[in-house]
Amino acid sequence: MENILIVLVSTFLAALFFGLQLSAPKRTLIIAPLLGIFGYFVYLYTNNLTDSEYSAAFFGTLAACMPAELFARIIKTPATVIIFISVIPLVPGVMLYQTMLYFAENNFNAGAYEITRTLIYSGAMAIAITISTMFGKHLFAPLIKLINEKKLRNKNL
Amino acid sequence: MKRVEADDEQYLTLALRLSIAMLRNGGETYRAEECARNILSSGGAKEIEILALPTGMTVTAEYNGQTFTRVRTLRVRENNLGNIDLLNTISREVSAGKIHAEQAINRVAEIELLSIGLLKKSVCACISSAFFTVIFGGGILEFSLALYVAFIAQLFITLLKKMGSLSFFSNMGGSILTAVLAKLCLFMFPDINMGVIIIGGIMPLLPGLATINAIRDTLYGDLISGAARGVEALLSAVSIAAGVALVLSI
Repeated sequence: MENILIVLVSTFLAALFFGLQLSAPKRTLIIAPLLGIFGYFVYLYTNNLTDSEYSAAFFGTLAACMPAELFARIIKTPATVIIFISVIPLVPGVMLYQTMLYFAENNFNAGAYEITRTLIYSGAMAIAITISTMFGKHLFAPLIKLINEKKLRNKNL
Repeated sequence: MKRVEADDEQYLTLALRLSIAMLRNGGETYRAEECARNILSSGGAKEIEILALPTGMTVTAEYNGQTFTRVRTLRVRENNLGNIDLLNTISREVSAGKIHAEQAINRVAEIELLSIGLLKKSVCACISSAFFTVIFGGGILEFSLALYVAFIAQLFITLLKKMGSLSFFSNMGGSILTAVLAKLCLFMFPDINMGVIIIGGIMPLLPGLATINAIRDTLYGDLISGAARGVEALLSAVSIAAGVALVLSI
């Protein structure tokens, strides 16, 4: 329990400083790392529950990206600005390193297995980003537009 | 022949410069096109056609029966989320008629000069790397070692980029340096976990933004941009991985 707390706090700080490194706008610097924590927590939980890291990557990325699309439209900033920061803890750096370690040791069987894992994992993340982009484009964008128009009409009345 | 009013020219210049700046800082292709289209239509142009690619863009607009076309190419790209946001805000304000084209051009020119400081970038990236080592199971010793490994590597990468090298080359140099320094740490402290230091060091280098943009561009119908950015992401991931493998195999 203590361990997971340390991991989640480090996730927040890692994402925060990652955003600062790319000079992300100040109004995204709280929400994006928080979504990063949320995504990573969902990843850990799903991984624990189903014992499948691909579905964990899928649901974790979905949890990090779907709210990001909505918040980006509320605070009027491009969605990539938030998604890029919130999804960074889920990037398969460990798998990539493991792959390269096996290849460097001339262990091609294990390397081929590991690189396939990395590719499927990235594919799962890509599907999740695709789905959340579709939601953002076809559901959140018209919704926010509708709300804004209603507000404008109320102001004029 | 009728002379173009200076105002129309300004809207064309603004649209082109803002969209090119958007592409250079890592914005999506459809957003660059949309910004240019909004600015031009708020300037009163007809028959607007815009083609944005990752390597340049073309803007065509008709004013008073005359058609004007401008082209600009783009070679150097960097990721700067703050600039994307500022440019997006300027485009919104111009389309809403809040600021004039001349003011907007001045602000875009200011943003074009704006880049992240060398020291700030390195410090933030190294702290971020150090916390990534904690996520992947590093202790306090790995944390402090990663701090200094990533700092030197990031400084090196930023210097390479300032010298104008390709991003693949500078990323590969950075990953080689990270792995070499991590190996040196292993010699000094034999019982550390070298893997987490290298993983922490390469996490900020991995092409997250290029991948996300490739997916988004493809979904919004910019197939050429999507494919080009996908290749960019793949190449830089391979170059980083190859850099690490090179050192580990020694």
